[in-house]
Amino acid sequence: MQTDLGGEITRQSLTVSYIYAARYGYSGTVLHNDNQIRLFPREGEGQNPLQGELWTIPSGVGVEYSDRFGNRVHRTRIVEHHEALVIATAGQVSLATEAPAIEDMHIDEAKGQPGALEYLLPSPLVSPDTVATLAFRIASGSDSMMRVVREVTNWVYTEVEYRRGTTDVATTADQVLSVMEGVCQDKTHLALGMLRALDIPCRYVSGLLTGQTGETHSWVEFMHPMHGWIGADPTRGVIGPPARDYVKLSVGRDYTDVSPVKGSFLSKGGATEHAAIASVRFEQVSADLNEALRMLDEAYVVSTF
Amino acid sequence: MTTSDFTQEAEVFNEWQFPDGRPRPHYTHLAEVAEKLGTEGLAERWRSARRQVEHDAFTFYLDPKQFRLTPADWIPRIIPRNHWEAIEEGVSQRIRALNRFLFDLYNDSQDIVPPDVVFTSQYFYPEVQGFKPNKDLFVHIYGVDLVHMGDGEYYVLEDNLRIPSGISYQLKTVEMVSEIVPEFASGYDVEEYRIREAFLDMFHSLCDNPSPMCVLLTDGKYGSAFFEHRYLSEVLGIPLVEGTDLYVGYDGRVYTRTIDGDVPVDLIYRRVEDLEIFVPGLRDAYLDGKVTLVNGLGAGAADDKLVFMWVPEMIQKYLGETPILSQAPSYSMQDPESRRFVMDNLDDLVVKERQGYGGTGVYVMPDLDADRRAQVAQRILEDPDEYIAQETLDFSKHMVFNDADGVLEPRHIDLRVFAIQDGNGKVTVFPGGLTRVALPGGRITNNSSGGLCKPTWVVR
Repeated sequence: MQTDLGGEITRQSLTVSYIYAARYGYSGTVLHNDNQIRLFPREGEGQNPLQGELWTIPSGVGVEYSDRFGNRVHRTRIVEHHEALVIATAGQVSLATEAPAIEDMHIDEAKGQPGALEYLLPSPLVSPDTVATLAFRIASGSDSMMRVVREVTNWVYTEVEYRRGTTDVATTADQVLSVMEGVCQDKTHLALGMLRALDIPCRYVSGLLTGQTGETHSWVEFMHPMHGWIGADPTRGVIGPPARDYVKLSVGRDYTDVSPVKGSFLSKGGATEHAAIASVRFEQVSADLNEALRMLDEAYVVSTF
Repeated sequence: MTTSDFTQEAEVFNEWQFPDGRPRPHYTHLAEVAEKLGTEGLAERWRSARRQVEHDAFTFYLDPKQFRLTPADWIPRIIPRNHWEAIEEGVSQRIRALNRFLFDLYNDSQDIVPPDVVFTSQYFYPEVQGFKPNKDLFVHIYGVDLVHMGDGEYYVLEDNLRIPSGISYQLKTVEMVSEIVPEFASGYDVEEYRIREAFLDMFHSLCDNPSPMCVLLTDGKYGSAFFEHRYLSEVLGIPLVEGTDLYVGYDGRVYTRTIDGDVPVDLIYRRVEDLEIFVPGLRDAYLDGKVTLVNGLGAGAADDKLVFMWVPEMIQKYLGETPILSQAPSYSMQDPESRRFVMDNLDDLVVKERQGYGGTGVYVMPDLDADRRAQVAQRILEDPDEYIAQETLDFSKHMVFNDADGVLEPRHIDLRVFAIQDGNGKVTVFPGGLTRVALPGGRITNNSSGGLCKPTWVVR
């Protein structure tokens, strides 16, 4: 029992509360703003959402559906005229504390799994061919799936420098390879490209880091023939972490499938600013909208236009 | 008169003639008139038509600075009566089924199209949910694009539900050919119709006011379809208004400014999509039931090219009928297996952007070069949710008079058919339609992509 963290912790699971808030500024009046929001924790794979709320200011009207990756999506259309938009969500989720035991396999067993094709094909920001040469060199002929995953993850972890400001949301895996620096998103894309080049089906995960306040996080999950999706985090150099380390929001082929807010607005002006903040705390009580708004004061600027 | 060589295309159905070159029976008279006028005679008529097109400002705009005279070929396309009967019934099925679908979609009870498809459609408007338009109709005016595979077999390429345009071109080309080459019509019993009464009856059936005030809302004289807006307002006898002519009053009703003062409006035949840009408050006035919109807001959710794949199911479910018109076999790219099939067979397919319209975003792969094909393939991989693929159809060709070379030459044609549904559930399909001719060597027929219009007759 690790009671020093303040939350209710059993041997099997840990309950945490999460907040995500984002602010968008515009230089003119926005007549309508139509967005697909992916900010609800996924269910399953060691994660169980207990409750959650989503707010927008101004408020909008919406529908909810699951996309083809099983992410819960809110499409929200705001028709009230506005010059700034806030999107915030908060809730509680229970996370498994045990790390999965992972058996090794021959590398050839990965690609033939049902449903694997989607996660082997090229995607907008990850073109496996462009990073294949390096991938083969790093794998150096190993036929052990776990060894290959470990080599690739560790290589990206140690060789690609973590640095902000040099890449953006449209940076592709091969561009990361040429600059050899970037943020978690870039490391994830590069690792995905190399693993796909080696025929290991893998996906991009967008989520939050337990116990931290700041930016959203991203990492890789690869498809294991026996255990399902297993995490590999090239930003932290971790393979097969327990569910309790992260709150998993959405999955896809790469960032373009999972961006938390994707949409369009109608205005004579343009977008001026986008700031966001994310937090996962060991608390039993879910935050409310006021708390989310207060946190926005500390938000980091994602982009300015 | 010579006809250009097209022996290599014997498998494509030619509307005008049999494979051996003899005119089909219903074209015999047209062929004789064309022969008699000869190249010079036809060229002279075509020149005079061009002067009239200029005089009548029969135009369309590509952008605010650039307008074009509507290019046309004046040799009529003839649809035999027995073909027309099937088209009429098939089109009627679609407008009725699509209306039922849209009503259910916005009132929480459709289970035909998966939510992740229909809810991601650009023209699905969440704010319309729970709204019941007058007489439960979202689509009052409908345009559907068909192609003829031969022997009366017509396929649907796409539905137009938001702002179907082109009916004025259908009327104007028929009207003009009777003046330019009156000899053409003399041998035929052409089906006649009036749109004025049908449209006005439909407008009235949607309003509680026994003498409703109806207006046509245009995006202005630089909009691509301004000719059509002006023409229809004249034919229908309703005021042509711009956004600044309308406002929403304190009582929530919509008013139009006239020289006699401000008049409340019952119905807006709107030819714009983003209502709020043109008339602030109009959307809420509509959703509060203060004004009727033709077509209803949110109708575009059903002319999404992915949703199109489910129209046959809609007809079966809502009408309990078998679809009369076929659809080109279509492939969603959302499923990776079918995406791989499409990638493996890409060179034989037509790829369409989900939200494209007016011929933009349509890629007929067999007609493109290798570089262009590779670009399209890349875009599909990048955004599989935004594309569909369809089998390429070898649809029919029709003779067109090429006045530069003085020959009749076969070119691909399609057909946009217009229908209306009124508040009593009555459907009227206007005989004929707008025939559009593709550029030589191509299959895309839209005016904005360089296609020609052609007068179209249904002949008894």
